[in-house]
Amino acid sequence: MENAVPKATAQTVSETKPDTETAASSPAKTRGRKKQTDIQESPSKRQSKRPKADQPDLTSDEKPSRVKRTYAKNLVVEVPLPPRIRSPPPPPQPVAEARDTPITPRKSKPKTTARTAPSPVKTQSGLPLKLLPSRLHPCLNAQKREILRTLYDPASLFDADEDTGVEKTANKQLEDLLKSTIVRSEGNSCLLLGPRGSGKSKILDQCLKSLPEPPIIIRLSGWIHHTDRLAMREIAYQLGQQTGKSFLQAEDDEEDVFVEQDDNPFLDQPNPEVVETGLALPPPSHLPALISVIPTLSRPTVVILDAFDLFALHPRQALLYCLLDTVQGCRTGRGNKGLAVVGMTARIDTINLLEKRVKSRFSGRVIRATGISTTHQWLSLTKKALCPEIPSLIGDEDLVNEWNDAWKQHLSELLEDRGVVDMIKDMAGLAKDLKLLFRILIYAVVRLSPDSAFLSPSLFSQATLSQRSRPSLYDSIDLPYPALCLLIASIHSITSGHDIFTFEMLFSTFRNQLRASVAAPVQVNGGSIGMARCSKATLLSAFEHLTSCQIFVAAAASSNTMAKEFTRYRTTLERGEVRRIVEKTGQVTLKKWLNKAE
Amino acid sequence: MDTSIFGYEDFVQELSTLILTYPPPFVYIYDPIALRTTISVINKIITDTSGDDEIPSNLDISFANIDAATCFSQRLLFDTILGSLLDLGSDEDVTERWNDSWDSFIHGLRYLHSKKRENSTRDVRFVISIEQAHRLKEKVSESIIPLSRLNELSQIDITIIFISQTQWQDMKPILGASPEPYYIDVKPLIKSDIIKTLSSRFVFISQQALTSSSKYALCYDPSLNQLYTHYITMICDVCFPFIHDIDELAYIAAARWPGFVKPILSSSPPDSDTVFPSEDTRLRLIRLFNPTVTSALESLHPRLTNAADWAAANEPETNILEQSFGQIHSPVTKPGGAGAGTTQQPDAGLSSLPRMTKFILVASYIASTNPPKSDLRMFGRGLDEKKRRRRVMKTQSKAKGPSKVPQHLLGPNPFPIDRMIAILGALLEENDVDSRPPAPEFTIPGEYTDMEVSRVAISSAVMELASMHLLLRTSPPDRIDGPPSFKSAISQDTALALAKQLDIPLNDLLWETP
Repeated sequence: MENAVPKATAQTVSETKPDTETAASSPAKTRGRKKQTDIQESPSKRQSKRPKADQPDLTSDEKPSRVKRTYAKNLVVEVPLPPRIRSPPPPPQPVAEARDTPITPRKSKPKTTARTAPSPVKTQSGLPLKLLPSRLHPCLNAQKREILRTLYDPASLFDADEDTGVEKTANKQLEDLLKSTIVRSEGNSCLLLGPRGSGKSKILDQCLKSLPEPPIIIRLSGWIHHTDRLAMREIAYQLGQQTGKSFLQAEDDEEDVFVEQDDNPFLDQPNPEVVETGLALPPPSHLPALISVIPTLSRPTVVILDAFDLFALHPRQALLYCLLDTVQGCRTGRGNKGLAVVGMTARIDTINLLEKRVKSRFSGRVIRATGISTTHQWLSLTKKALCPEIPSLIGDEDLVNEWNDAWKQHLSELLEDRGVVDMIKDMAGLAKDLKLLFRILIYAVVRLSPDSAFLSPSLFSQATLSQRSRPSLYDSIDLPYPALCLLIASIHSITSGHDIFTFEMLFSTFRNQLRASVAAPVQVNGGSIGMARCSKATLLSAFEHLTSCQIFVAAAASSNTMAKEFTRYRTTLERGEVRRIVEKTGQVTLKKWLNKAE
Repeated sequence: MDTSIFGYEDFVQELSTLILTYPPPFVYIYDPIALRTTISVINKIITDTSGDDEIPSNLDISFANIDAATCFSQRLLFDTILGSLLDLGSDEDVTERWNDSWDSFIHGLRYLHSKKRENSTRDVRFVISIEQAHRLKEKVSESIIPLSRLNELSQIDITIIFISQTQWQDMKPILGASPEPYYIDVKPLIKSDIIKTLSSRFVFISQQALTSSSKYALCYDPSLNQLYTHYITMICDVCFPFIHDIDELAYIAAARWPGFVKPILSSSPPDSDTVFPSEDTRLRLIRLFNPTVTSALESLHPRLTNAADWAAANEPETNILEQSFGQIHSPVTKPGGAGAGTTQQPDAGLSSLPRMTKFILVASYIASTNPPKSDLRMFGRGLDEKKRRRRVMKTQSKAKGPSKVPQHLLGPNPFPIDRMIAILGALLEENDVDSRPPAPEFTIPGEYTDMEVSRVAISSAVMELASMHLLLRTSPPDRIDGPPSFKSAISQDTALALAKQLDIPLNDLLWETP
């Protein structure tokens, strides 16, 4: 099998395979080691497995060695380093990939049924029913899987060499800043500014990964740390998690550390954190003092403040003041380590939010992440996202080549399609959020099946409709008759000047209409053409359904002294939307009734 | 129920593919029509993907499925999520509390994640699905943002799925604080899919019936499968325009089925294996039972009664087939018991009230519905005239603006009790005088009524009605100045029915005719 694979992937195989083999086949050995190094072992084992297995999609060749190097250091110092943990999950094991149904085994079942009798949904969506020969199904599955993986962790899409100038500058600036913190123990602060989806986190993650020595990373988020107290507790916790364990590991023995630490005044670095290893937090009164201690830790620290603008809204901006003051007061050369504070925000006027004393301590460095903007870039990114190399482990090289050719051809056809280009142009002009593009691509790719194995413009526009310009809901809605009657009655109520209505009002409108409609005993083909009867109770339950999906919203707070028939509601549907819904059902009587409301 | 629901194939494929490969961190599933069906489908996906070890992926998926309606505080939310994640894993007890803040919740998530990583050789993924997510907005609205960002906050492989009847834009936090979700819109089921699904459930039901001791167990004999399909088609033909919810349809079908097969089962010997009616019998059955399905719909869908009671009340006679055989052409024939006891009278308990209480209720309805200014016109009498004044038809004023909505559609107005007593007096004077025992001591016209009205019994009746919630007290109970005010709590239908029992021409006494 491995003889047949192309060279590039063969390399990845040989890289990943021994690794997974050792990980899987020698649990005994690892367990043996575990005993010696106790707790520390397992997370680091995880790390050792992951970055390497991730390597194939992370482009460069020189990485493995470097990762190994960092790993070797990690083993000593670093514990649950969040960014690593986050980095793309399950590297698909070669063994699993080799099987022909990597995505889901039961997916083949609907497929086969769909082939014998194409499901109505498929045909109505207007996809070209190109049947894929069954030998190519594994390729399709592998391709889908690869694309989804790329979209899940799009970092691999942005190669450093292809970055735009601005991007590169931002990357460089931040990297320099962090490096100087780590290497020269400087205190640094900066603000990473850019709209949503412009790659702020990506830049930061890349920079953190490329650092020569792993710092202590403290991640705070304005979304959950609503008060400074919460934030400081979290700082204490994260410090305890990271430094406590690193110390433990250096000493290699838990108990001794405690004893030693408690009564050893001659430690070269007074480290108050060590005392409370584990999850015990320092008393609240010590929290503010904690920040000033950060530079004295054994490793440089990077504090990341997500949603920086929200921290500026805290009273007196105490946390920011403490942090930035410590940064400013950082003195190199006294055995102190550096501290970098990186704020991330999408709000442009964030610096103006800072109080004077805080602002004066802030370095004022603003690094801008702009993301990509031109349509051309969007197009090339789309193309890149859609044709990742599929692992050639499926078995047959010819097969894979055949598939690749077909896939690439269809893809280029798709991307030359006028409509698709226009859609991407729209997206680039309107949203500038790459995540939107990724969502659209996910939507389209997930729907590929042997019936329609290739992306088509119609599928693409369907995806755009679903993810970007959300369907005005009611295109897809299919309401039963009582609900339709209530909707029409509500439109009548609006026409007569009552925007706010009660159920009783709608019901009396309906009853009058029903009476009028049934009064004329016209029959066509033996059936009455009047409106169907509907009991009040049935209408009431339809009304409740409409309120529960918030098509009718309460206009006044309901009280328990108010019967539900008399609670006041407003409708969220416009006349035009109701008309469209009614017309779709094709009930003439309802349509006529609605028309009376003009 | 182990049968799947037809019409959801695309949805199942999309969701399970995503969950098993690389799910977006935040998914929003929107289904305005049949949320419960969707939730059951999702649960099925969950059990399929987590219970199946044959999935060729190196992935260990833990699901937490919670209902936002039950998580009305942050602690409950955290505890429910962590609890259900923990249950699936090891049975060690965790003494730590992770529910006091978002931080500790996230620490808990990370802890569980790393715990599972240690225990299994595969990667661990958490999938948290939150049903009725719009309910989050009511009680724990501040948790929407962190939940939608849970993936980046916790830095582990975690996916949040919101399932809701309302759209994301209705609950989205301001300023774009949450990332946009990956949208999945559930397509509404079409009729043929529902018929297919419901009839495919018969096999399962009959298996269950074999082991159960229910008195309806016989009705689900496996040989009736084909008939059941026709039966479901009939049910859907009648009910589908009114209900699109598959569970409701199944409920109605279950209520009618025992009655439907009863003629067949009783006509054939009980131990015969094949009970398969002829085409003719089937058509006749369907024709006979068609009208009763409508009444089933009207009483069962709003849950005026329950399926078992309804089935018992509407049981057809055993020989209905023979009976109607001769008169099959007359559509008047209806199976016995159809409609009986289906719709409860709106005044079910009210007819047993004392007579004076009924008067009070009618008076309160009038007081709540009529504008106070109209009282003199409606009830005022000169000393000499026995007839009440003609109601002056108000000419429509030329004033611009929307027409006024009749009060009985807007709901009852509060009224001071004095006004109600006065109206009660007028009602009694007109409708009750003849039924009283003679009392020669009252000489002035109306004096007897005044005496009646000022009895303590009236006040205590009012208080009793208020405790029965037939009158609603709108003024605070501890206020002592001024008369207490009340509101009528009976519907118009009830009021009309009561008035009829008392021979009061209520329609004439209402300012705006219903």
